[in-house]
Order: sequence, then C-alpha cells, then structure tokens
Amino acid sequence: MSPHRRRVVAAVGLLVVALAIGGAITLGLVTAPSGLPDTADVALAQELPPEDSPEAANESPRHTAYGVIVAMHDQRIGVKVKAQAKPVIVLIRPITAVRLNGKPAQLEDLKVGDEVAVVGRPDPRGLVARTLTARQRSG
Amino acid sequence: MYFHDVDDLDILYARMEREDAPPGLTPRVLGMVAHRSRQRRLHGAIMFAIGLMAAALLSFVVGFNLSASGILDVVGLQLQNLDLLGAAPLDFALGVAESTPWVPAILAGGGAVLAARALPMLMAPVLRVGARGNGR
Repeated sequence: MSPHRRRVVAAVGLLVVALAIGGAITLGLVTAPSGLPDTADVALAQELPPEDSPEAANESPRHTAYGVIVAMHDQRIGVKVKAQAKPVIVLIRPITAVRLNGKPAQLEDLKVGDEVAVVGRPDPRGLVARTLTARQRSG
Repeated sequence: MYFHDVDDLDILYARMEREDAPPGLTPRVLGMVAHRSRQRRLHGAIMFAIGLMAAALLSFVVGFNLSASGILDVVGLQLQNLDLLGAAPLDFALGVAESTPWVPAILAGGGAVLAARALPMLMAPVLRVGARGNGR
C-alpha cells in the first residue's frame, strides 16, 4: 500500500470513528426522555417545609436544578426535578438574576407550574440561586 | 602483516565452506512471516471493531444521560440568556461537570483511541507467498 493510500485509508478510518461517536451521541439525545419531570402525579402548590426544619435539608446538593415550580413561599421556591422525589428548595437572594421568557423579571412574576433552570451554589438549606431562567407554559 | 585490509577473520571466512540453507527453510520462514502479517491484520480488524462498537455504544449512553439529566435544557436556557452566563460561570461549569456522565464518556474515548490505534495494524501490508518465485 502506497503512503498516500495509507493516509487516505487512515483518514477514512478516523472519519468512521468520529461519525460513529457523533451519530451515537445524537441518537442518545433524541431517544432519551425529556429532562423535565413528569408532574402529572405531583401536587402543585405544595407547602414548603420551614427553612430550619430537617425536611428542608438539601437531599442531593448540586449546582443546577431543572424542573417545574411546585411550591413558592417568601424567598424560597420548591422545584420538582426528575432525579429525586422531594422538591429541591431554591433560595432566592437579592443577587439572583431572574429571567422569565428571556426578559428580566421578579420572583413575583413566577408562578407554580413554570419550567425553571437554576444555577447556584449548594447549601444545606437548599440551592442558593445565582441565576434563574424560567419559561411559562402557555395555557 | 597483511595487505589490502585483510585480517585473520577474513582469512578464516575465506577458508570456510559455503553451506546451503536446510531444505525448506526459506519457504517455512516466508510462510511464518506471511502468517504473522495476516494475524496482525486480523488483530487490527478485531481491535478496530471492538473499539468502534464500544465508542458508539458508550457515546449513545453519554447522549442519553445528558438529555435525561436535563443539563442540556439548563445549558439551552442559559444560552438564550447569554448575559446570565457571566453571572455565575463557576457554578455553571460545576453544574455541567456534575451532570456529565464521566465514566461512559471516558470509556467511549478509550474505545475511540483503541480504534484509532488499530488502524495502522489494519493497514499493515500482508505478505503473500505464492507459487511464483516463493515470494522472491
């Protein structure tokens, strides 16, 4: 096999590997269920546990939360996420940047049932939100 | 004293009788070389197939987990509000890192490396020892 032909075959082989990986990732993305939790069986407008109670403890501290608002109380919101049964308690602080449908908004503009993506710092009492982007479902 | 750079070893070699190779040695050696080159290519093909399949399968798992974890939706919503990316870049990066399925991602990378490393073996020349001239 000539060096030129070997280079071509090697390039084709690497292209096959890259296409297989890219195609498989795309297939995985397309076939996976939505990252949004199924809220059909979840009671909306739940009561949040008091801030200092053991029930309010952060079940699995993470830097992000993506789900549906199921409870709102004062400067705290409960977000039902897919990975855990108990809603994630999100603490809203004055520093928190809130966006609703792409526009700057206030916490009061949000309502139960909104889809939210929160980025922040995990805390024993909940996820301290730095940014909160919400999307209101039509209807 | 020797002339023309001839030393004792040269004289000894000159006195030795020329011995022919044992009968069948050349075809046997060529046959083994040909067998080894075929084996090398076969191993390359098996390694490439295993690496490719592992990379594809694990990449599927990575894509599935990324989508199911919801992190892509978080990234999508953040990208729609680009000004927010600068508000908490470290927390955002840590959030993405937390949700990345590292084990399948690293294993998929390993599969890709295996497939890439198998390519030179797959392209190794195969020596064919035919009836014509015994491979000469």
